[in-house]
Amino acid sequence: MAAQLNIGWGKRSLAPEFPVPIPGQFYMRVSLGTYTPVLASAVVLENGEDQVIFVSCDMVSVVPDLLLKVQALLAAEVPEIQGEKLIINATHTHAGPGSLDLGDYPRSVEMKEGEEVRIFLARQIADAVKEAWEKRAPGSIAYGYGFATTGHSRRVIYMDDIGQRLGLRPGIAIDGHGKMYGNTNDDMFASYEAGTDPFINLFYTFDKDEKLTGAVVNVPCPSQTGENAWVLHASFWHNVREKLAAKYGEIGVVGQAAAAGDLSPRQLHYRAAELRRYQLKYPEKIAEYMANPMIFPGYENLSPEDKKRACENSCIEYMRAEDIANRIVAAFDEVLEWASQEKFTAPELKHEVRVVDLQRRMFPREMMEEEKKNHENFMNEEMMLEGDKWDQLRHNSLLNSRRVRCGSVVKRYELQEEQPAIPSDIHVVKIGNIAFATNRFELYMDYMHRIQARSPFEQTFIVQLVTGPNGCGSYLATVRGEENKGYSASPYCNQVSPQGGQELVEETLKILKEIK
Amino acid sequence: MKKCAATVIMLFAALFLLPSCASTQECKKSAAGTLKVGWGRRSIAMKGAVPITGQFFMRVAQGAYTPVEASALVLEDSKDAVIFVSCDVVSVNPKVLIAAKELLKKELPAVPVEKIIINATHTHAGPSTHDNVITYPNKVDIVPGEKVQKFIARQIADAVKEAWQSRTSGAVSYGYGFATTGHSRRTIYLKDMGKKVKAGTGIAVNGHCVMYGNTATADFASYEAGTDTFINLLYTFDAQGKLSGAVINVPCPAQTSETAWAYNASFWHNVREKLAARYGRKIGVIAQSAAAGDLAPRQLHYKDAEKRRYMLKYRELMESYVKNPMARPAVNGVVDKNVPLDSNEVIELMRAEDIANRIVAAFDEVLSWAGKEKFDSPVLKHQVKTLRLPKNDFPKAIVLDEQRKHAASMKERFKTSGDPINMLVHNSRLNSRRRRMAAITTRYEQTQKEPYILTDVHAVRIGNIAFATNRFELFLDYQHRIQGRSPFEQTFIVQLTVDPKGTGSYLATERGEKNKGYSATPYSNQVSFKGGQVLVNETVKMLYALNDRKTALRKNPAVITVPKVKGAPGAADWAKAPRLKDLSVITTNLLQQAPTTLRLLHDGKFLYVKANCGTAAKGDKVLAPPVSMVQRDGSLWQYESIEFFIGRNKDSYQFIFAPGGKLADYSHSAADKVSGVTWNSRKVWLTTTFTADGWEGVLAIPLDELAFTGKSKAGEYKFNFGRNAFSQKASGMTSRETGAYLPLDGPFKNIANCGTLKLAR
Repeated sequence: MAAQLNIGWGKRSLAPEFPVPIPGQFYMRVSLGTYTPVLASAVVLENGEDQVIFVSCDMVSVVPDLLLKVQALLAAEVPEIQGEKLIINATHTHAGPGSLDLGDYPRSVEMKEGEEVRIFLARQIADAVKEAWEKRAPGSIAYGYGFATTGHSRRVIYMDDIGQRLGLRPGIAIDGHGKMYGNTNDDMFASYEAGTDPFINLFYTFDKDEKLTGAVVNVPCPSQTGENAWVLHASFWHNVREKLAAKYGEIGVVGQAAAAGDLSPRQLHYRAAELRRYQLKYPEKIAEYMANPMIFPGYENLSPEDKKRACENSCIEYMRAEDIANRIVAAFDEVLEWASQEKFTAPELKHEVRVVDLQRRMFPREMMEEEKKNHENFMNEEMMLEGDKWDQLRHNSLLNSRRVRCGSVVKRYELQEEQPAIPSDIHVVKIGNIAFATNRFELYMDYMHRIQARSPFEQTFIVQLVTGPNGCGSYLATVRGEENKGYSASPYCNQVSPQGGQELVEETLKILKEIK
Repeated sequence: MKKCAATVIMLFAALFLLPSCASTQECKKSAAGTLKVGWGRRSIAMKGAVPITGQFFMRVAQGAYTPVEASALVLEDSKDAVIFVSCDVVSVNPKVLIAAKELLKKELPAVPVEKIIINATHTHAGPSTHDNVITYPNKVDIVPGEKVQKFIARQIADAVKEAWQSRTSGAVSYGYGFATTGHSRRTIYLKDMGKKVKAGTGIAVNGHCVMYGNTATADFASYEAGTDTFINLLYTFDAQGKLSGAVINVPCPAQTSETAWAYNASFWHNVREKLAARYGRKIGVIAQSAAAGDLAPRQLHYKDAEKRRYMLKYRELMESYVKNPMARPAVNGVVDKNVPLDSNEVIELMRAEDIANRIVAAFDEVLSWAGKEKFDSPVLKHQVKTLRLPKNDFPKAIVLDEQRKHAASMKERFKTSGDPINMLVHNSRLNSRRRRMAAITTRYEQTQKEPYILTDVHAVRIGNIAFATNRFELFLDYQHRIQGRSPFEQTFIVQLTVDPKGTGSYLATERGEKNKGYSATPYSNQVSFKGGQVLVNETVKMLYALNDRKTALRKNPAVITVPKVKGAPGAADWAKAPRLKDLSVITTNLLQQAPTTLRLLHDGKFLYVKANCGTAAKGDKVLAPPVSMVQRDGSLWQYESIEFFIGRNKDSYQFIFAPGGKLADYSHSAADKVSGVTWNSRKVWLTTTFTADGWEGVLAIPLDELAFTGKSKAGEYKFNFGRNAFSQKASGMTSRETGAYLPLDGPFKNIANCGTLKLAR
């Protein structure tokens, strides 16, 4: 019999008062304000024998240095917290504060960046964890799964090699039969690569009076609606939190993306039908949004008509977030209704943290040579030093991205022989009959199915984009992904090979079986 | 010099707009609408020892556990009609359709029988409509196939008669939502499982795929094509606006309880019961399976979690079932009534309940908003076309192999004694396997003589949505291809519709054929994956025809020869110019495409581009750029305009021209440091005029100013063009559409692989 479980929740805003970079596109954006709260949400589960602290951050990714800073703060301030038991995942909103170093290009827009931003974010995340830790009290948990359509496949496959049609996109992607977000209204459109996954995994927490205190909500979808925004926002997780708060009061929500490297919130067919759906279903919300839209550079100079036009796309994206949130909340309620019949006050809690070596994605010398040339070409392209500051920012940051991406292929080629494997941190957590298994990648969905199908647990929550001291991020494509190419499945995007992906599957399963 | 990269890049990006359909023709609420709606239904639960097919062995009905029905819906507007009939059977033999038509012709000649679309829901526990001639030793009394066919034809005809006779003025509304119904049933492995997992001769040949394959194994790689969670809904209302029924279309065959010995309509029964409880017993339901050859209601992982879900959610229902389970035959004189609570039989029933709950939740959700927009006079057009699809052309080696296997199976013995049910199961299965092996030889020989099958396809337009049928168990990818390219807001794909020319069979994709497994081998596939694509292309053509749009099927790349004229062309010259039209729509909120024609001529100095741009409907006002707009404004694309691209290798020029003589020209040359800079040609000229139904413009591009890097043939260029069609209706609603002549995606400026222009000498 395991010990009584203690549960605590905490949260902090990740929206600073000052402008910060918003990463997620090839060009950099800078925050012009905060449209919805962006949060670090923490839940502590501990029973005196072991602990796990889930923290979800409304960010595109969390760099390792930020994790280390959070761990250092907690080590100094709350030594009982085991820093290595922190599982911080990025929800992958493309409109969160950026924790990365921006790179070498002229700054035309004022903002705080890099270390300064990380110091702010680390404080907020550490405070959320501290709050959760301090508030922890005996409680219970329940779990279940249901269905909610959140992500759609974003890898469109063609009968012909669309790379031949589109030409080269150096520094961005190498297209083949696959193209990310490709046009489906094309006579050579063949299929979506791997389809989608409508499962939603839910883990609820209750206080000693059996009142709902929060939930870990795990869906195979990155929260990247409104992904071109110049204001901070949390995508559909914000809508989910608001709806749950209206129903259940101020409860905690850890929003996790399950494996969804090849999924996104966008529908790639039925676009006109989607538009009509929102117009008929959410007319008031549309009016509300259009009266107070997400702004962007130059917005104030537009005529009212142009403002309206310019915001139509972000409005649709916002309605998509609302629609996804409604489905998540419907599933949340449905599962809660039956799953809460079975509450566990003392589930077995085991938390393993390991470093696994995953085979690097290798590529031939010719490809490196090609990228070297591309890199040189981009180095010869000039940064923009005058003109509109926003144009400068877009141009310079995009050029920098392309330089970095081409350059990184060259660097990685050099590492191929001496470091054929990449160390990667994974967490595997047992909580009674269910488990959580993390990875740092934008993991293709197939890997999740492989783990879930073979896991000895009733449900296995896969959590992607979990930062470890050894790194964070990068797409991990499958064999079919690599064959089809396209953005997310070319050497620009893949540090780890499909074989490495299978190693991740096997290593994860090994631990799952050990702790079962 | 103004930088325009950011704005221009948006050009062919998705333009999401906020139109309201309220002012389109379909939405007009006239005093008396043209649409008539009628519903009818009949039981098809024939009494007696009726065969139940769906497995390799034959079952015999032990009564009805749930009603099994034929439901009919008539939609008619005096010009055209569609009659949807859904039947709770695994498939409908063409003889039943033919017989039902004969009855109707005789008894109610007004019914346009060629407009009947009958689909099987694919329940594996409905009365069999096939011939079922017993050629093997059998001691079970079985109702002959002919009798069953006659009965079901009678019931279908009566359901249609009822629907026809009860039709009255009504309306429809439509929408889509999400409901998880089917899961992929094609498990893919990292290696070829053909030898490891033998499927049995006459059943399947496994490869990297095994249908319903075990996922809890180290070799498990993925599901082949994943799933589709869309649900398409068409609601009908009576003259008072009260809901009278719905067509529900989900990509999932209704095959829970697929080994039952009692009639069972699978989840459609639960759906009907739940809807009746909410909306009244008279509510009609046409239950359609969208393309789902590779999908089934079964989850192939999370099975323990699924069981727990049902145990916690439906405990009472499960307990009540085990007290009174489905009837089954006595074997050796004993009827096994012991059904454990967690047995597969109970799980299957709960799965049906669970799926039905999700369908009904989506039904209510979509109705809540789609019901706001009722159409009492939608355009109704119904086209039936016979297509020729290439047969699955397998090599002779397979035939020889199957002949050997068949010969071996002929040595296997039929049971001639023992329990009659055991005999039936054993003998019917052996018979099935032999027939499937023998069919390979027959089909091979037939294919040598006639390499195509003929099949009837229905395409139906109801306002802004369409239905497209096929007789197959169609793999999901084909549905996405049709829906991705269809000009309609929603396209309901209906599989397993009866075709007088033949019965269904799986239609696998190329990846399916490569992976093999049940449903993707010559045993199961009459038509090749190439035939599947013919079905897609022909269906899309039919949909375009119904939509009043021209086909979007254009060979890419196109090669256009541009005639040479002397000096600036006159009317007589333009009459000879090649006409480029029919743009592929990229984004639209228009039902009917705005017509665009582009003509090209040259005189050695200039390339002349003449555009004629109509509006989608007469009387619409072209949304031209404001008069105050300066020339070469970067936002010109946000107004009614044509965009013409010409280039070579990696370099291209872009010309946006708009009514009112507005022009913006860009160079996207590789030599430019900044992509998409304005070019400011010195000699380019443009004239535009408004016409009765839109506008026209002539652009002259100075050929000597076009500079390209690299070598290429003199007088040859790459090209493409597109249109931003912006107009306003009298109601104030804005119509916007973007289209491109050649399929285009990604960076619009990249035309290296688009069409070729050859300037005639």
